[in-house]
Amino acid sequence: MQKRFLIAALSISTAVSALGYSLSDETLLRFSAMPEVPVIDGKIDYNEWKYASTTFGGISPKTKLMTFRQNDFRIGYDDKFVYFSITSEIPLPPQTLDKDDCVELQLLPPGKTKPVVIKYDYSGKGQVPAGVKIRSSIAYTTMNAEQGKCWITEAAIPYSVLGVSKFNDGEKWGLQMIRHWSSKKETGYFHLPKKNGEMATFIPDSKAPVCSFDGFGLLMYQNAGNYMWTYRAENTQKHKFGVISKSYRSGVNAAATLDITNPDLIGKEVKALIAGNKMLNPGETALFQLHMVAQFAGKPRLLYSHLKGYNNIDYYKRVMFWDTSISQRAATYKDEIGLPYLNAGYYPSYGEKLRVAASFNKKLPIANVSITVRNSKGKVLHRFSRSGFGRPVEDFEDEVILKNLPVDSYTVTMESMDMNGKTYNHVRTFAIAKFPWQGLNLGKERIIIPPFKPLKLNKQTREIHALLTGYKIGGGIWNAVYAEGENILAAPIQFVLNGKPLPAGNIKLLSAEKDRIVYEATVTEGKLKLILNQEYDYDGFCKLTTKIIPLAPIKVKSFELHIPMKDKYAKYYATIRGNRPRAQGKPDTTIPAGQGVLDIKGALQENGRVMNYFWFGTAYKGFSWIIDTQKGFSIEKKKYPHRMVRNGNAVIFVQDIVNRQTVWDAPWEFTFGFSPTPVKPINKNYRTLSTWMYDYPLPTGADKCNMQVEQLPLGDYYDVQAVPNGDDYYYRQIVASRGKVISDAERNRMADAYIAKHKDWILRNAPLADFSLIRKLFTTKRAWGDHYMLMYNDPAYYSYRWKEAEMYKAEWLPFDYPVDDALNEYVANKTPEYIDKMLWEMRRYVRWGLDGMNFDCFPLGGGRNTVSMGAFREKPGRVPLMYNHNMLQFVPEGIIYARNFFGWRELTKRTAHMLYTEGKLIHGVPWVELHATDAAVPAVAAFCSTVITMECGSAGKDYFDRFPESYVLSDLAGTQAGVAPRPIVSTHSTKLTRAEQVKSLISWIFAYGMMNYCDQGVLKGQKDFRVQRDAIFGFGYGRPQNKTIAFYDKEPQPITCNAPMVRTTQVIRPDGKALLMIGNTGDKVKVKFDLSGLKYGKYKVTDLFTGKVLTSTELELPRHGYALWKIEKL
Amino acid sequence: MKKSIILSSMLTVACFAGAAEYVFDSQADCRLEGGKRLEFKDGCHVLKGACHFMTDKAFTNNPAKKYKLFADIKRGTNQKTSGLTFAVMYLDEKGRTIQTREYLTVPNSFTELAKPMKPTDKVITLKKPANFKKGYNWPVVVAFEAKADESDIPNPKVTTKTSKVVIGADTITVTLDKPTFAAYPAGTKVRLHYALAFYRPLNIDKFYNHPTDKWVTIGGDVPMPKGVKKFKPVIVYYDWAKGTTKTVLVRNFKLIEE
Repeated sequence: MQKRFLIAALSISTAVSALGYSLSDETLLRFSAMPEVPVIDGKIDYNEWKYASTTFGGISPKTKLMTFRQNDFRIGYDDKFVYFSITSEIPLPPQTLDKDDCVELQLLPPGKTKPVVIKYDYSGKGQVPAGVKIRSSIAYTTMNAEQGKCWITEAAIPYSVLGVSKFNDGEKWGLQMIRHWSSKKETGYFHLPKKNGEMATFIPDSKAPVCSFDGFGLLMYQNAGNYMWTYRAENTQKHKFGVISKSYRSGVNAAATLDITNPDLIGKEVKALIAGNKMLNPGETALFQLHMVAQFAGKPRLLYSHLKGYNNIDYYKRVMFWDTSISQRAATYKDEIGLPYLNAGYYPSYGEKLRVAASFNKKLPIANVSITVRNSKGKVLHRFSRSGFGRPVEDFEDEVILKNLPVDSYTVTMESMDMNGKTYNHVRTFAIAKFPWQGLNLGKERIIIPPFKPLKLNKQTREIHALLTGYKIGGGIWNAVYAEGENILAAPIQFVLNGKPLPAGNIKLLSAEKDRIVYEATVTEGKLKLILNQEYDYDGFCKLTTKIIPLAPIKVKSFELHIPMKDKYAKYYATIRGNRPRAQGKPDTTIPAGQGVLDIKGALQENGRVMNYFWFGTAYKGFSWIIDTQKGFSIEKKKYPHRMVRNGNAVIFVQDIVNRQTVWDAPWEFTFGFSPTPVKPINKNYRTLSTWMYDYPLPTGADKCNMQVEQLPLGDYYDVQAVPNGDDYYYRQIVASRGKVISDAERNRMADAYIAKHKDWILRNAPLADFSLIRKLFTTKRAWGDHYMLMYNDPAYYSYRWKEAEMYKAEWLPFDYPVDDALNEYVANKTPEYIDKMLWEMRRYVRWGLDGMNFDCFPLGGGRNTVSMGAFREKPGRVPLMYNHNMLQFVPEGIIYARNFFGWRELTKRTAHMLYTEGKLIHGVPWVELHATDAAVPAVAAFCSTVITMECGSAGKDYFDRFPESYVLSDLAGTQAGVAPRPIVSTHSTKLTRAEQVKSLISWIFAYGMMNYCDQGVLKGQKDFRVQRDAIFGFGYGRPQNKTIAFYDKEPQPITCNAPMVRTTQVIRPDGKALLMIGNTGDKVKVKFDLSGLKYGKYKVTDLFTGKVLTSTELELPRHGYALWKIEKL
Repeated sequence: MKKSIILSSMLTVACFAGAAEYVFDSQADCRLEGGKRLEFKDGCHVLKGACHFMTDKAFTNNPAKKYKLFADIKRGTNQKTSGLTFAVMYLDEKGRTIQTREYLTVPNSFTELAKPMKPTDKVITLKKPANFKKGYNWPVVVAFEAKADESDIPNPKVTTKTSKVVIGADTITVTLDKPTFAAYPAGTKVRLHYALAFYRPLNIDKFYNHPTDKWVTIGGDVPMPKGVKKFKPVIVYYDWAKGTTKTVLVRNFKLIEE
């Protein structure tokens, strides 16, 4: 790839000396003197080095890629000095900089044979000619988005050191700047020399601008794959100056979503320009920027940098390849000594417990250890001590309860002494603080949201009925489960112990309220007692907590949960899936025919792992459950702990709780959550929603809505809802734009005014905010003028920069111990306190006027937190030291992960309650939306009105292959949870042409009534795609006065056909007009439609794509073909 | 593993008027350290070579119970063999083996520091307890924060090996291999422990049991400090000769819990 993308012009190396120093103009800086120079104090203030030429990223000669460790290079000059600065990462604690960490500047004057070298470490020691002034400090800096502190060094080199009195315009100097990295050793060059002694070319030029490459942006590119490349030009001249950027990024675009491992994408590099022309006024700054997301690592990409003037003179040139995963594997800071490290977590909501884990390395035997907890005044609150008594201290964990700690900040310091008496320290911190959202109990109101009704209880029969479902307690756990009035069980749901079903036991009603009924069953069988606590919620959910109480040690060979469904209802199944199977496979989730064990290969199954969600049933009636943790289960590692079996007319799902012999000798408990389906009817009024789809404007007749209001107006590094100066203008203006068309010019004006008003505040108080992204808040067309304002929320988002982080990091992160610098949108646990904070923020949105809440990132959360979540330690294992940059790469030994479905359920329920309490109803219900790409889990989606769905790997086969009917009916259509789907679609494909993929998309959405798609990219310029949007919504799709009937809706469709593989969605208006959306799910077919059900008598049929009036209702459809007809009564 | 079934058909714990017996009578019941299985023939485990032979299962210690261990042994061939040690190994709550230095006490050695101990000291002075005799000529270590009732056992706060033990009139002076890097004042309660290996012989006075050409039953009470969480029965047998053909047969290997 390097050969393909290197610049066309041959590099001209100027041979300078027989000793081998040469100049290359592949890397070239040509710039003028600094009108304002920095103060050499080791600190870099805002804009202090504005007039130096900055370049981000050193290049390793070993990998030929940018080093993973970040640094920049700065070089400038005035009439007295050359100024040099490098800002670079330092190791994360407990590692420190050592003498191998150095910076180096080489300048080769014209005509000389050897460069002047200045090289030094953090202490200033090294090769430093007399007269050179150096200062260094350690501080947070925007260079690496404050992800850990940096070494900042500045130097001023007088000309006398260089053997000259000044720079002469146009002279060519050799330039090299280097960051030498310690442990692991690596070198990052400004100019990657092709041979020894090759240097970049530096040309002082008083008539030049100063050009820079400022970096990859502040979007956490290493973790998130999101970039904002920025080139900058400063006009230091007294006249206008034109600058052209010819820079570009070349590489593989990610697919629409997380599909970078798809081999079909390799070899398909795309050049993305970071280009432009700008005429700068004197003193003006120009930026050339490109924002791209989802540039995931795995294949090297090229950054080609080239800025020149309108005068065709080159001012900045450089070539750099990079790939974060290759370079990270090659070298990063690595502790090669074996420093002892401390993990510490304080859990204020979970027993006020402090846990510590001390870890040691054989390379550095430790003689004794002391871990001391202190408050901010240094008062010792607790001390843990260990001595090896002459042997190396072994890893240990310990804990202590620290109750009623006052508001303060605390340190936990581990002091380790090695066998030679040398000590090493590692400090961790936590805090106790007060927040306005604590203790408000938002969303915990004891109300019942529409469309749900109070629970009905029949004490005699022990039946509990919710809106559409119900239970009959007895015969084990339940004798019957009702779905739309019918019992779907073939036999009771039971626990089976060592092959024998357990009886129902002594059943007692503990409480009965309109929204909650609690039963308890006590079963005693020999030396075993079980207590089944059943908590029924008003949506039909039952939280079943089973307490196992052995009265003496009991050997258990097997313990199972049997769920037997009548065969006639057991048609499909659904479970949590990953993206990959959908992209690459054909996820048929039809329950197979035949007797015996059934192959449910459409489910994502793992040996030794319980599936945390499962549903089976018909398109409506069914039974589902969630379980967050398998703690306490005794499961064979080498087989699935479940099976589906057809036995006569019953299909039984068997869930193993014990399938590996064990002894129960102490009480324990486990919790399932059950939801029969359908939970509620779909609120079809939401079918009017649509939005801009990049090239395709909002369809006529649709209600505009998307979840594009920004939860982080100042960007990822600041609080949710943080706005400059407390000015909530952005939110108020978005709401004020409801239903209006806000022109591009108007949005640009708003952006300009907002930035002008707040620029100084932002620069001072939020230096990591990105102005281009602040501008995008206003300029993004899709976010403005919505009819319904849906607020985007990410409940998996966590930031170490939050004020709450120091207090709650141990509880909110999915790791066994907290990660101090975690900042990621995919990690947070939804503990009750996390939800408290979210509710408080969401209530603000509602009071600003926003209508509904969207939740991204379902079902993330849980992970390996053994205190606040259900993860548990199964066997001993080392406790790793994790940081933000590696936390998602670790799988800590011995801990079994858990999910957080119960947390998600609490979130959606409390949000719906809050919206209802605030009087915010859309189409009569609180609007909660779940991004349920993996599955629309009924227990969680019960309180939702819509779901975002699909959004899985594109680039595969067509829509019918990737989303077969079974998948539609078991999940995508939303019939089980009663949610209207809003799919995310894309027409990338490597198996079909993109145009063909668009066709399959149209056919598929016609077949399954999936008109409310949003987001992602549909190939531009597709006429049929454009026509159908306006035609369908313009006709009144989803409007309450019309009937919009998908083939799976309860209401029968008036228009029928004779082709079993053809599906339709029909819109029937009261004025004698009907719309027929036809999708062929199968092979080529001739189909005849019977319109008599419309009772029009005489009618006219028009093909809306061609405009032709049809003389027949017969049609030949190609494989996966489509048609769109309007039928008018005459 | 077969259990003697007395009670209910549903539950499978054997109870003999409150006792339970675990018989390790199949190849799957036992293994060598490291996991390898030994030959099992005609109802007997066949020990050959160097064996740390133990039950597969770790048992939870019930402090209210007493334990006994038995087995029948016999030479497998006409050749004389070395003796085997019938023992138990103690495990912590994480399933890791506890070394003897943490629990194998030297009789009558509970005492206290005669002088304060600094972290870098390698010589420690203890008060000599009454009736103290060093006993076996095995390596000893010093355990700190000892309790008179031995409730500190297993006690991980033990020194490294001692290179010299000098018994004086009133004191015992112990020279350590390495300093403890811990500090204790004079008067700190200590005890001497033997530092042997990873197992506790059932009978410390009869370390080795020599098989004969007839079946002989060995075993007895299992010493069980209250602080032990888990344990495994162990048979230790060493025959280091390369390509040896000597074997020892073991049958009726069982643990009784009373």
